[in-house]
Amino acid sequence: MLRRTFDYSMAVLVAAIMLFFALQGCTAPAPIPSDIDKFGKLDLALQQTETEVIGLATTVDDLITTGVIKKGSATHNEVKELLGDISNTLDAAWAAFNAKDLTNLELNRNTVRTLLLELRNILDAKVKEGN
Amino acid sequence: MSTEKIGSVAAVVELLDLVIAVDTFLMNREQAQAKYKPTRDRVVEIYLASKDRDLTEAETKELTMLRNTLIDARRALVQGIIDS
Repeated sequence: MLRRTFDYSMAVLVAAIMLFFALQGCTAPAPIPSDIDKFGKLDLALQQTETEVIGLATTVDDLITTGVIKKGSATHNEVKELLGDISNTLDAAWAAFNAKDLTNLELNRNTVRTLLLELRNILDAKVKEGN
Repeated sequence: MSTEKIGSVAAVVELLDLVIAVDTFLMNREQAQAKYKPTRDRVVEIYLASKDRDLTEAETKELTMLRNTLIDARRALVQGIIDS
């Protein structure tokens, strides 16, 4: 009788412990991404920006080579200045990434994206003008 | 440059996007081809060799260096435009 009561108590205790841990799992907050995860994602995001910049710079170079953008024109100068700013800011973003400086990384990456949009608009206008 | 994420399979696939962009840049630009084609070829080689497995630490480090070279290609391209 005593043995049966003990077994029963043990079973209840084990069940209670299991329930406790199960509930802990259910109510535990979602894990906060570690800095490594965050920087890993920014690593890829910066790389994607790099891909965009190379693509757009190649388009600019082709437009200059084919004469759509005339050398010495206002557009040529504007595009050169923008591309220079984009390239320098992207370098600053990589430097911030290497220094694990999240604030400057995001600031510089956002600046690159804004400048890229500006450049894209200029190129769109130029291509439409050509058509 | 970080190596935390570039080691994953997804990151190598992402790196191929950069390679495709560089390929477009290299088209009809012989001088740049001589300088950067071996780099793009090596990225593709590592991608093909590691398609069905995780990258080794050595491959991860090499990919990071190769990516830096591709970033240099962007700098050279932009500088060429600025000097035009």
